[in-house]
Amino acid sequence: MKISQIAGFLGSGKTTLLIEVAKELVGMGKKVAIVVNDVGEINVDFKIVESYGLRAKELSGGCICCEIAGNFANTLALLWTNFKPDIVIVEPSGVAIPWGLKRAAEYSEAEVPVTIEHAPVITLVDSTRIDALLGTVRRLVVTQVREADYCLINKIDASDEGRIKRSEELIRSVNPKCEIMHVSTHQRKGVKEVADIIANRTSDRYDEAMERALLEQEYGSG
Amino acid sequence: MEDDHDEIHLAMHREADELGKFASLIEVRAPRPLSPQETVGLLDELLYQITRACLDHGADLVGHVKAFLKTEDGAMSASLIDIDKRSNVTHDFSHGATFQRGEITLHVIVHGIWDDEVRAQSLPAMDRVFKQFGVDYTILKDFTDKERSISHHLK
Repeated sequence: MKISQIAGFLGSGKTTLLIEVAKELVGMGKKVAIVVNDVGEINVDFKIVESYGLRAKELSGGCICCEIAGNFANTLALLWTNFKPDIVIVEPSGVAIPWGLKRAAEYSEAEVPVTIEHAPVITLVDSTRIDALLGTVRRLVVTQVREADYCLINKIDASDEGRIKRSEELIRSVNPKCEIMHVSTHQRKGVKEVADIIANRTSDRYDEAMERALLEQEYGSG
Repeated sequence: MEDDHDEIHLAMHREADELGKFASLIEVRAPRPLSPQETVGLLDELLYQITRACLDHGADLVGHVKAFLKTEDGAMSASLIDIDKRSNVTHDFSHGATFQRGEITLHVIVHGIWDDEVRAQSLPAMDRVFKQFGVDYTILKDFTDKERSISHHLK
C-alpha cells in the first residue's frame, strides 16, 4: 500500500489538488483512499473531499505525525482490511512534519500484513502569497519545503513572474535536491504529471537519523 | 538525546500554534428559497466580513477562512485566503436548485491574534451577514475550547 502525502501551508491548494489527482488516479485504474487530517475538532476539508464521492477518512483532534499517530496507523490498517487501496493520499494539517508522517504510516505494518511504501513527498508553495508567508510564517513554510521530494509552485495562473521566481529561489535555497514543478490546479496544469509521480515513483522509508538531521538543520541542536 | 529531539519537534508545533482559530457548526434557515447565486453571495460575504474584522483587530495574515454548506439539494464550499481577492466558491447545485435550509461548517484560521479574539470578531460579523441576508441561524457547535492552546502537544 503506497502512502502519498501532499503537504503545504494553509490555503496552498492541497484539497483542490488532492481531489483532482485522486480522480486522475481512479481514472488510471487505481484504488484510491484519502485521509484528511486537521488539528482542530472540525474538518471542512474532509467534508469537501467526501462531497466529491471519493473514499475518505477524517482524522481530527490532533497532529497526524505525533499525538494521533496511533489513530493514523489504525485508520490505515482498517483501510487495508476493508478496502485494500493501492494508494492512500494523505492531506496533513499545516503542522505535520513529513518524516513524522512516514513513521506513523509504517506503524500500521504491525497491525495488518501490509508493506507500506511511500510516494514522493509533495509540498505545495502558494506563489500568490509567497511574500506574505515568508514575512510571517517563514519557518513553517521552510520546514515543509525542506522535507519535500517535489515542490509544486501552485496557482501560477493567478501569480506573476516575480512571485514565481521568488518561490523558486526559496525552494532552491532550502532544498536544492528537490524537483520543482509549476502547477495550476484550476487550469489542470500539472495534475496528470502529479498523478504519474504518485503512481510510479517512490520515496525513502522513515529514517530517524535523517529526520533528526533535517530538524537540527532547521532548529539547531536544542 | 530523545528529549532534545522532542523539543525540536515541539518547536515546529509551537510555531503553528501561533495561528488563531475559531470553528463552528451552524444551522441556517432562509425565509425564502435562495438561488445558487444568492447563496454564493451569502458565503462570500460571510467569509469576507469575518476576515475583515480579524484583520482590523490585529490579525496580520489570513491562514485560511473557509465554509462548507450542506443542504438537501447540494453542497457549496467557500474559501478565502486573500481579502483583496474575495472568496473562491464552488458548488454542485443543479440547475434550478435552491437553498433554504442547511448546515454551515465554518473554520477561521488567521495569524497574529489568539483564539478568543478570532471568536470575538467572528461571531458579530457572522450575525451581521446573516441579518443582512435575512437568514435565521443557530450555532449548533462551538469548538473554541477544543481549538485552544498548545497544551495538546505536551504529554
